[in-house]
Amino acid sequence: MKESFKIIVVLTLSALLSGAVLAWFNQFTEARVIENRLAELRKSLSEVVPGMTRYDDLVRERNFALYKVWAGDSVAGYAVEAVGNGYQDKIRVLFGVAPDFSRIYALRVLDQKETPGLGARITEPWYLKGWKNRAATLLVLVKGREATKSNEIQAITGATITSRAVVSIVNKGLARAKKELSNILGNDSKGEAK
Amino acid sequence: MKGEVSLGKEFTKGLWRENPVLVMLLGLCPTLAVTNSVKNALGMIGAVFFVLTCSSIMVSLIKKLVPPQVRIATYIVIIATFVTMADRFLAAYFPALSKALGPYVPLIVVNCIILGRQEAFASRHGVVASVADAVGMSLGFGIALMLLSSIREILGNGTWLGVPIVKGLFTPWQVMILPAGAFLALGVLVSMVRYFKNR
Repeated sequence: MKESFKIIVVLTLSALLSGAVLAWFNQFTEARVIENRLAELRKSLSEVVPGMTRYDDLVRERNFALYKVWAGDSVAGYAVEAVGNGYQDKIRVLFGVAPDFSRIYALRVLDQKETPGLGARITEPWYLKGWKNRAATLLVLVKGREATKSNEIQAITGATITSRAVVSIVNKGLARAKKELSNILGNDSKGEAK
Repeated sequence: MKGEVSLGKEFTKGLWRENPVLVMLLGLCPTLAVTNSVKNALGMIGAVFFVLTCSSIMVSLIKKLVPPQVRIATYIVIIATFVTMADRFLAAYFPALSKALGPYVPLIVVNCIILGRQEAFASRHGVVASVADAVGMSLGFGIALMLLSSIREILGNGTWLGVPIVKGLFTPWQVMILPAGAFLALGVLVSMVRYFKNR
């Protein structure tokens, strides 16, 4: 009886102490962790939408996000964060779109675990350059030749699955973003009518 | 108490004779997973050094208070506390490294090197001897990880700590930074260590 009482006391105390230490330590790191995440998002946003000064969250979900990006007082465009299956794991991308949804400004890969030297080359500048100023319509992947039309994206040799995945993620993200925006605009005009 | 232990001996045994990775083959999961670059290996070594040393101090201090039936549970709580601190610290001050190491920092909790040292050493010896043992073991872990990650990064990527050093001597051997390369490099390294030890 005495023994089991001691066991309860020791385990409870060690758990309580551990919790207290971690709560105390978290005070010093939590703010910085959040700050890092925001700074990273800000940097990526400024890379995909030119002239970004600030942004608003329009939609924020686990696998989709839509940001309204401002340059001073005018809307510079929208940024879409979209996630989909790659060859190895999920790929998370962020891309900027013009305010009228006529074209994609640029694309960045936020997260990927593709094969090094093959699929992982989607993070390299020469590939990302192929995403600059593309038409924001249904994008298609071309293999074995340079992209000539504005809605074409050149595939990476030896990484067709990854290349196809990125195009499909962007296409789905674009469609979703258009739907979300028309919902938001629709609600706004209804609100004004009342 | 095992009587007088030589501090120097407790310290150096982890480096070679009882090297946790190359001789005792403990903690292989993080060893294989994070040695694809020297930078990741350094982050892992730092985290393990911190967790192992702090846990050994704590365990050797409270060894008489803990009933034997729940000693493992108590050690795990202590280790998990330090691991969480290391993980949060990396996330706050080295976000890129923290992202690259991914789940392998939290997984230090179940690293058998750390729990093994608490069971085998810190729970039976004083604070000073436990620190010598923990630092020696961390250094042994560090040596193994540095060897492995250097081999893999140089052969697989042509760089060392991100600095290109091969410059056209050979085409980087991509497989070395993939999981298969980890097994190949570790197998060759362990067999070489065995050869020299048994000679």
